[in-house]
Amino acid sequence: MKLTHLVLRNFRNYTQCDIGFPQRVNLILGGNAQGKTSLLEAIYFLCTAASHRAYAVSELIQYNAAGFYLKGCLDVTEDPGAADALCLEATKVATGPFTLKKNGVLEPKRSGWLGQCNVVCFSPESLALVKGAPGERRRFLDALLSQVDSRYLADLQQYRSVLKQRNALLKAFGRARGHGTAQLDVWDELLVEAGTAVILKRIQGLQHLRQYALQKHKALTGGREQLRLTYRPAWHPQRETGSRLGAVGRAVDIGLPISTSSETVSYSAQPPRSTGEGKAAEVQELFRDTLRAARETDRRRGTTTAGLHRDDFQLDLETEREGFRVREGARAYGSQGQQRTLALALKLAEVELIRERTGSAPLVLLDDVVSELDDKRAAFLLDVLEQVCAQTFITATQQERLLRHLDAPCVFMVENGHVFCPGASVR
Amino acid sequence: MATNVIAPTHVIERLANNKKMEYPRPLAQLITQLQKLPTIGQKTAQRLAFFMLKLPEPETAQIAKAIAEVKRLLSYCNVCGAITDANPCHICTNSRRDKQVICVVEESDDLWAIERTNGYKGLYHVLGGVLSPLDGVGPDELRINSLFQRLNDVKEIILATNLTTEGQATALYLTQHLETFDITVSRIAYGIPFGGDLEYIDEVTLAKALEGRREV
Ligand SMILES: Nc1ncnc2c1ncn2[C@@H]1O[C@H](COP(=O)(O)OP(=O)(O)O)[C@@H](O)[C@H]1O
Ligand SMILES: [Mg+2]
Ligand SMILES: [Zn+2]
Repeated sequence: MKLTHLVLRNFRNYTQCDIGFPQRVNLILGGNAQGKTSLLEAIYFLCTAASHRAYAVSELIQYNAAGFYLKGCLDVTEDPGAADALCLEATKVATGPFTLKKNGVLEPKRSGWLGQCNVVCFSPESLALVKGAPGERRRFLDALLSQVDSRYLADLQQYRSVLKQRNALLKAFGRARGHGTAQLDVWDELLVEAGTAVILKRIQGLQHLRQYALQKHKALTGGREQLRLTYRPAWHPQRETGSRLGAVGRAVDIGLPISTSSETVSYSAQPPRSTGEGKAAEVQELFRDTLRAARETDRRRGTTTAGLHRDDFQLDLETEREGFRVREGARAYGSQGQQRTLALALKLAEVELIRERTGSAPLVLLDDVVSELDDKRAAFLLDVLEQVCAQTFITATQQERLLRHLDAPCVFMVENGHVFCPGASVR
Repeated sequence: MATNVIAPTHVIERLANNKKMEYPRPLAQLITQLQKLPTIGQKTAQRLAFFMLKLPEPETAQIAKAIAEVKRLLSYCNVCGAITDANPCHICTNSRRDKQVICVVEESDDLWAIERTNGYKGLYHVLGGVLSPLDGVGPDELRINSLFQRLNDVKEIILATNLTTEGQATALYLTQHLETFDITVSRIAYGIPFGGDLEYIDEVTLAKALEGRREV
């Protein structure tokens, strides 16, 4: 999967811009506030129909413009079973919703758009994956699984629409006449049904992600410390209900293969069907029990306190210290350096997971990160991306240090919403 | 020679008072009324109003009469809740229909959609909506009690609410409450895409869905 051509019109500080990307590694240089991040944002938007940094799509429209237009041409000839060309277009007018077109055909649903061209974005803000609240990790997992599984987003949206109804019912409980409990039974059942599909995919996805994250982390730290990645399911009867700020919480053994283990879990792209059904029944039962147990609390608070909308996964680092194994939560106790290494390991795991599941490496956007990493880590990152053959877009303010790691990248200069390719004029 | 043409004072005054020229009152009123219809905006309403202006008088009278009568002559069937011009409706009073089967639908539109398939000979019950706490709709806001009062000679209930989240919730709610009766409860399922609205499904698919209903 390679982006060969990008057109921006009235997008952020770009009025009109037309860029060709003939190579795999692209270095985008420019001073502050010239439009480097905006360029990556345009690529990200074409891939995911969402921005990685804006709250509202209308923020992306150039000031005083009526709307924006983006177009990306992709070379997919190397992808398994793909057509030769893919042309993605996104249009937004200030007064209406945005529209998405694939090869000229309108795609009405975001869930039908994701997965056509996968993308991974790594920026200094990615540190929030380690340091941030559970929501940051959930968003990461959801964004990842939406790209590799065509049904995931639709399943999640279905769960959310049931959740909204259930919450509305809980809020109205004070006023509800009679029927309240019977109605709650109904929404619980639908919540469990819709949630189970999502949960099973999260379990499987985390298992797979952990495998790669441990491997990358080990390579980055030379095995001095070990990463533990534990699913913290909020739909499970043994979930933590108290403060989640404590670094070391209770590990939940849910009898499913999600407990922490550094051994590689054998994984095949398609999980065996037979065990899948048994597992689904098990998850349904556990989730149902949890909802029932939390019912009184839910009524009091007027909202659903248990469920996968509060899931998290915990990151711990284990070290040998004077002959003892010490485990510490990376979020609270990790040093800045340890946290950065962890975020890097997770992002690389994301790239690997996408490549394994889809057979094609995602586009990788590295916004101001390569210059922040030390030489060793920067080299490792770029090595991995080269191995998986991912097309890479790297932004930086200066090129000297970067060029040491890059073998003949295509260099672009960004200045006040204009892009120049100095190499092109020489050729 | 003085060529200045001075406009009469009342014209100048009107131009000063209303910056834009307004339609004559009856026309403006028609446009306002038409805009109350769904999917009709200002522009379409204007186009429709001008079209009507050009119609011969009997035709506009016919339109007006049809609109007035739809309200005056139609009501909800006291038995099944369908929109009807006779009470009870033609389906409820039809002796050839199977009185032991009731098909439960959200709205009258769904009833007519199923009727168009010609594949169903039982009776109907129109709920008048679906459970939706977000919209403040609970069982009391729907015609659920009147359904339970009709169950004496009934052997089978077909739940044909839409396959949306709310349609599913309503079907599940009814299923749970029908468990205590000695009645077969089935749910349409086959062939209808999730999120699908019965009104917009083609006859063949809908007929299949009825055929392939399963017990719940
Ligand atoms: N909607 C918008 N319209 C016009 N300019 C914008 C818009 N949003 C942001 N900008 C401006 O675009 C410039 C480039 O931002 P950015 O891409 O983040 O720069 P860089 O990453 O190169 O530091 C900034 O000066 C910012 O103020
Ligand atoms: Mg930037
Ligand atoms: Zn009737």
